[in-house]
Amino acid sequence: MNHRASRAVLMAAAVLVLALLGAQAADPVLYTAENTSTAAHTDPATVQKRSPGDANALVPLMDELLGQTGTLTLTIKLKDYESAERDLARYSELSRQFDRLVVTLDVSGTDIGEFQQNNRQNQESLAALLNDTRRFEDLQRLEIEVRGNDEQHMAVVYEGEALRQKMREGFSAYAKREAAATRIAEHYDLNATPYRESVDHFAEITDAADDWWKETGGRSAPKSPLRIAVTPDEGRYGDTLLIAGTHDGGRPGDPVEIYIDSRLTATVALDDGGSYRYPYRIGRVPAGSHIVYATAGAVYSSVVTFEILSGNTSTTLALAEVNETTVACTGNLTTDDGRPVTLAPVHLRIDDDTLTTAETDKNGTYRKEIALPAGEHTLQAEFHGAGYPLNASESPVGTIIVRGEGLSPLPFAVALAALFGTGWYLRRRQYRREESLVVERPEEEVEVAEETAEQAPQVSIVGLPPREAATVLFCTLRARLGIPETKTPRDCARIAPDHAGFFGRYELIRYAGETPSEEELRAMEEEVLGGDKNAA
Amino acid sequence: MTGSAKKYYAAAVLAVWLIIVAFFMILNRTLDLEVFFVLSLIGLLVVAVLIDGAFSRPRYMRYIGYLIAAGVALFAYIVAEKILEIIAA
Repeated sequence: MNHRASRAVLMAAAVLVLALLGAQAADPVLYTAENTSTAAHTDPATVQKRSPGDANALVPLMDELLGQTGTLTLTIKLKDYESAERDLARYSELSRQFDRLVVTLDVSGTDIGEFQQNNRQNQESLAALLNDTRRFEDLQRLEIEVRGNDEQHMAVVYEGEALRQKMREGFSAYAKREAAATRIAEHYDLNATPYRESVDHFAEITDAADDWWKETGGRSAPKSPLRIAVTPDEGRYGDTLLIAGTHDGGRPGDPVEIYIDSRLTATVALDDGGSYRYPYRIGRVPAGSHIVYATAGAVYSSVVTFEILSGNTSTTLALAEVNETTVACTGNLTTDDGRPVTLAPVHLRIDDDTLTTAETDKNGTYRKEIALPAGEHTLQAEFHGAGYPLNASESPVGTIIVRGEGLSPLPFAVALAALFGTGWYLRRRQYRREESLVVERPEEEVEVAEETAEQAPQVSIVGLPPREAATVLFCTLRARLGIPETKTPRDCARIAPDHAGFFGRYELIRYAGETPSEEELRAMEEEVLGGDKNAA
Repeated sequence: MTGSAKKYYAAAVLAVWLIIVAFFMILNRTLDLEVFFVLSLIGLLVVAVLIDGAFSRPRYMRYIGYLIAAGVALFAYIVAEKILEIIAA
């Protein structure tokens, strides 16, 4: 009873363990140091990888970043563009290192995160400053070359004006960040002097551009017969500004080219009254001041400016299951006043990690189907606002459970085939073994021998090597005596002491490697046949 | 070593092997059932070969044969799935 109970408990435990393992069969990776989802299961070893060494490196890196701004603006001011390129590359590399550290140490929510954002913007501003300064120098040279050619001169001067305004805007944004940078620098006991110096250098560079404009642009802007005005002079995303004017002396149908920020934006024709109008819808342009002028052949209008104000956006996200593995993410991107943001990139963040991009259509709606592995996933839509006069926004985090694909039937079929194959092979092997042990004899005689175990068996050892012949005789005698096949010669000798001599001799032949003589074999054969010589 | 003692020694060796495998998997901070299963099967096959007698076949050896057959079938399933994964990638 006790034995039975213990067997039952063992069986139940085995079934339980198999059931528990079977539940995990679809996703056999039970645990890795990287895939821990809860704080309680966090692997201490991976936490230690965020070593104190990283934290110690953060503050010196911030110091170096601030120092780099001073060096870079100084080399730009001195027009040493080769050094400036090197400094900018170094600054970018340091910024990348800093970004990685901020992510590793997970401090993006602190004032270090604010420093990181400012630093990123500073990097963009300084890269733009380097390009603009170079281009500005080219324009200055070009302006001297084309003096006397009014048309080309005006084009150069206007482009210079666009560049000057851009640099002025860049400077005001850069200077605005000074207060925050100084505050954070004081908090971490950093040296903010290089950053302050960089603001001064930046100011000097833009002042130099202003001076050039006063010398050339202001002087060379005679009253133009081509007038231009923008109404209203400011707007937000989606608003339409009217760029209109008149051309004294222009003929109806003459083309007028309108340039916004020195880029040809539209070509309109003069109407019968000699006026033109172009409704400009504010789309993907950065917030800030922009310049616009028009040309009609060789005639240039004056330069006017308009302001684009930044606005807030809201992003929505709805999740729906398409099939076992695919999720459809849909949503809208709209401005605060409900206008759809069209053809804008919306980033979908999957499990706080992977980013994939969708694009809004003309209604501000985006849709993206994402294939996900089985399990629970969090998704969030983000609009970064780069290049738009719009602030970044993100949707609430959505959660969805993906069922995952069912197990493919093919591996089951293969496993089943393998199972049958193994079974067949095992049976075949067993059958062959039995066949080799049983002496070749007619089927009828075998049946008779089984029925009457005491009857003399048929055995033939003619032509067999002596040791194999001994094995055949041993098997035959064992079968005749009804001893199970699992018994060794020694067991057989114990079971059938009458034949102990036979089994003892066979043991020596089998295990001691002795070879029986002809006489011995004959004697053993007689014993197997029960002493009846005529039976063989 | 008698037949029944051999059986228990084999079970003990197999259990020690499984514990070693689990220990090193934990040391490696990875617990993968597939790897565990494959290593267990290897252990079972080695033990089965070592305890298999030359002239006699105890009953437990017949049962272990069925267990190995099931293990090999499962192993074939895992291999087939891996191949499908590689083809799909």
